[in-house]
Amino acid sequence: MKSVEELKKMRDEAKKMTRLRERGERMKIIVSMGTCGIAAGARAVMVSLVDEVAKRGLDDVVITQTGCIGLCDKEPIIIVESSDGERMTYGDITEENARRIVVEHVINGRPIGQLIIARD
Amino acid sequence: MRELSLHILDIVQNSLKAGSRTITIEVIEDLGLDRMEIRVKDDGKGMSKEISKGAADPFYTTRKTRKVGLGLAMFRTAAEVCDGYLEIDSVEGKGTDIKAVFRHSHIDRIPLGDMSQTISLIVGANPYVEIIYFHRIEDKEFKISSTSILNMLEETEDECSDSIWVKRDLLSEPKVISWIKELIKVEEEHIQEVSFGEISGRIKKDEG
Repeated sequence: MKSVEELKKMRDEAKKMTRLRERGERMKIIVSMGTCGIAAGARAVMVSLVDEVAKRGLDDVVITQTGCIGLCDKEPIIIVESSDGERMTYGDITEENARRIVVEHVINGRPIGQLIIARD
Repeated sequence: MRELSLHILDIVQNSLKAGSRTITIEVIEDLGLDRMEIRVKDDGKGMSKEISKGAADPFYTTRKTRKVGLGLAMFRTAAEVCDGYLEIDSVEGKGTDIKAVFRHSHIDRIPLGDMSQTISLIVGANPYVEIIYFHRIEDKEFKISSTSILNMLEETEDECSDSIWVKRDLLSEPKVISWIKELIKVEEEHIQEVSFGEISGRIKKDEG
């Protein structure tokens, strides 16, 4: 259990990080959070994404939620959208491959072909 | 779902879809009455009587992309399986109030699970919606809200930091979301420890 001191430190760290941010959004990661997604494990996927993005100190990535997309058997699903409008939909996402997507696609600009289920 | 916290995450998506500005989530555990109550109250667009009636019907949905709406149906089943019930109280133009009641000690009552993950993600993904979370176990309780979190963020012990303007979109910062999660975890552990510590053996810690 975290102590009050640890929480205060964590808070100050988070704020410090934010001061540097220019609020320019290069990439958006959208997590499908409909009933199907939640039942399939979307919450853990989103927690992993938030953790990885925070860990890597990415200040131009936003993580958000949406409702059911209609591809329920591929849940959990995440969509990676770049500021130039390109969208890639990934399916069968796990906590592990969600982190891989952050590293490979978001940071290194190399989408993971095997996991893509749609792109536009 | 394996945890009630996942049902809550699901129901809150309905409130968000309905355009709510404020969503209140309450979990009330009364061990003496052997009763657990979960409420999700919103000020979204609400439902007409006709839509309200169909809301918990799995084969009824107002969405055009599919033919089923399972969230409320599954939540109702989860409650009824524990000698409980689900009530939907909605006024078009005003909002919706979902109340699920469970027999707390029922062997089939799924655990509450990780509310710290559920609440921190809801707050972080929706920084401009006021989320209020209240949890009471017996006589121990805590309340946290998007606003109280912002107030806590404004305080600082760091002498070298110039005061940054604390605005709502700070809530969507990944590091802040992780911090909110840890904050809630500590509060949850505190009310569980204090309540369950007093009733040794009989009731297990509700972490799932």
